[in-house]
Amino acid sequence: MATSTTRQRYWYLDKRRIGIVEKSNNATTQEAVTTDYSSISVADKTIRVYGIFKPDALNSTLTADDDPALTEIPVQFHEVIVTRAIASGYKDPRNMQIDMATYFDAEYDKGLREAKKFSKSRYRSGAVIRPYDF
Amino acid sequence: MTQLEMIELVRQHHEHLGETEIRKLLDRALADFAAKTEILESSATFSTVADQRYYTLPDELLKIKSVWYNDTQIPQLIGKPSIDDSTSETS
Repeated sequence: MATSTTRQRYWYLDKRRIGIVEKSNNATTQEAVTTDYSSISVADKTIRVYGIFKPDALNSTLTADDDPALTEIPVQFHEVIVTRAIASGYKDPRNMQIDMATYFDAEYDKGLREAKKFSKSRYRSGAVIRPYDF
Repeated sequence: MTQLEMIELVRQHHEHLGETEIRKLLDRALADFAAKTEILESSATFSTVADQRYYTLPDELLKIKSVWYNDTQIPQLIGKPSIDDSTSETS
């Protein structure tokens, strides 16, 4: 009977590290403890981690000639980000204006809701089901 | 919108702030926006090293959606294996 040598691989999180293991029966024994999981024995296999990332920090050496657009975030939400920065500025003790901060925070929350909807739809527009009378 | 345009918009409200301070406010706003909306999906790639268990994740990664081993999606293990047989810690 043919036997399969394919081993199931798994990942798990360990603080800011990712652990990659492969499973086979009684793979590792230490101090009378046996586990089915061992570290990957093969080198140069590609691991790709898909996820949610933080955007790059703004460039600190900008000039008028070298002023790139913020391409990582869709353009319709750039003003939402500015709104948040303005609200934070109004919480600065040198220019504290709580009413203004509250207003811009509310504007930011409004934009955030739209952005969350957009993020879930991932550039797809919603379908509309129209009733049709036969 | 370009970065300088964003800085200029903030400055219209906060003339007392310098460019560096405004940039920090915008950076914090960007990070907050990305974390709350999960709008920025991307991927990070690295290669396995024989017998190495752990690989350091990029600082920019906020949340893992899926992990692929040689173009095949692999499942997440709930908990941790009871033995760590790795020879080195990080890539």
